[in-house]
Amino acid sequence: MSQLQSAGPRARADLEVNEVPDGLVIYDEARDQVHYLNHTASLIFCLCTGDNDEPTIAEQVGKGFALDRVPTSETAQCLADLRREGLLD
Amino acid sequence: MHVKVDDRAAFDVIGLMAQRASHEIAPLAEVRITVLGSARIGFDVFDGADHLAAVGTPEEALDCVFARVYRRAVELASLKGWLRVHGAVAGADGHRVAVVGPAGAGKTTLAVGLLCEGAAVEVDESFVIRDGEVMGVARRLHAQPGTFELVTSASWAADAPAFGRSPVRLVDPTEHGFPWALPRAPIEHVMVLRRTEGPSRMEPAPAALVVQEVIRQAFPVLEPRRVAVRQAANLASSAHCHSLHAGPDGRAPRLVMDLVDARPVS
Repeated sequence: MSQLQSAGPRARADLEVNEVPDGLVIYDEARDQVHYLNHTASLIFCLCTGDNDEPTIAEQVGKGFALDRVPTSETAQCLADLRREGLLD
Repeated sequence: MHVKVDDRAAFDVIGLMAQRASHEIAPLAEVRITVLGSARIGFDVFDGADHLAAVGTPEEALDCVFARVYRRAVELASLKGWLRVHGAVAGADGHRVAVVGPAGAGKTTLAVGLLCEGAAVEVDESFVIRDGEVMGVARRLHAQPGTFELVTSASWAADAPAFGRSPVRLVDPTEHGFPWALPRAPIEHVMVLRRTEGPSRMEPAPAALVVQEVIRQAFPVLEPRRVAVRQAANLASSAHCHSLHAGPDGRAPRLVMDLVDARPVS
């Protein structure tokens, strides 16, 4: 139970993920939808392994783009978008 | 492809399917089509022993033969993992460019303009892609009257045979002194073609735009959509992505040539 409570967002395992120079192209076969993720969304999506909670993901994004602050609200918004699009479990 | 036609008028029309492009890969299969009849009594079209259609004119017989042969070819290609996409391919100085766009975007006009600029045009209608490699689907260029208005240096192509009463000219580059080869190789640039009423321009494009357009212009035969998405992503990842806006100034072919001229052969 405690493991479940601490689990962070997790990308759906059944998505087909393709890398392109400026991000990811993800095909959701179950919904027959194609999603285009820019670099930032791609990084956040890739950090959705289930092992990282939202603050950790925001911290990693800040480090990844060498930001001088943790992009907490932007990360939360992106995660909400990924959830709304059905890309996370 | 073997086509047997016993009527002279029909032979001349169906002969327009013949083209002299040199292909890099050997044939995978043979198709044997027979067209029997005449313009007076109509035509029966057979693939081997299968009766495909009874039609009234040589042009309808050509449509039937064309559809049968191309469907077979595209199905075979699909079985081997190739995805067909609506677009044009040309090369210059060892650099190859693929142009993706819908019908009416100006692919043929661009292709004829590129021929006039000295490029080796491969196709103006469709190509197949697999793991970043591109190969043209052989077909004569189909030039509309608007092409000759926009590409004034292409008056030579106005002598190409017409398709029935249609104003479309079926251009085999080799009949006008141009080389015509269909290699199977990667490309260096891929561009999304759009018409504009303003000046022609080319700009870098996100790979996502190219992927989106390749998916939109793909003709999956047997392959699931995820394969189309994967192949589109492979293509966009293996080439520089651009968007090309072709305007009435007719400068789009020059912009493509400037792009390939600007990149030294590595």
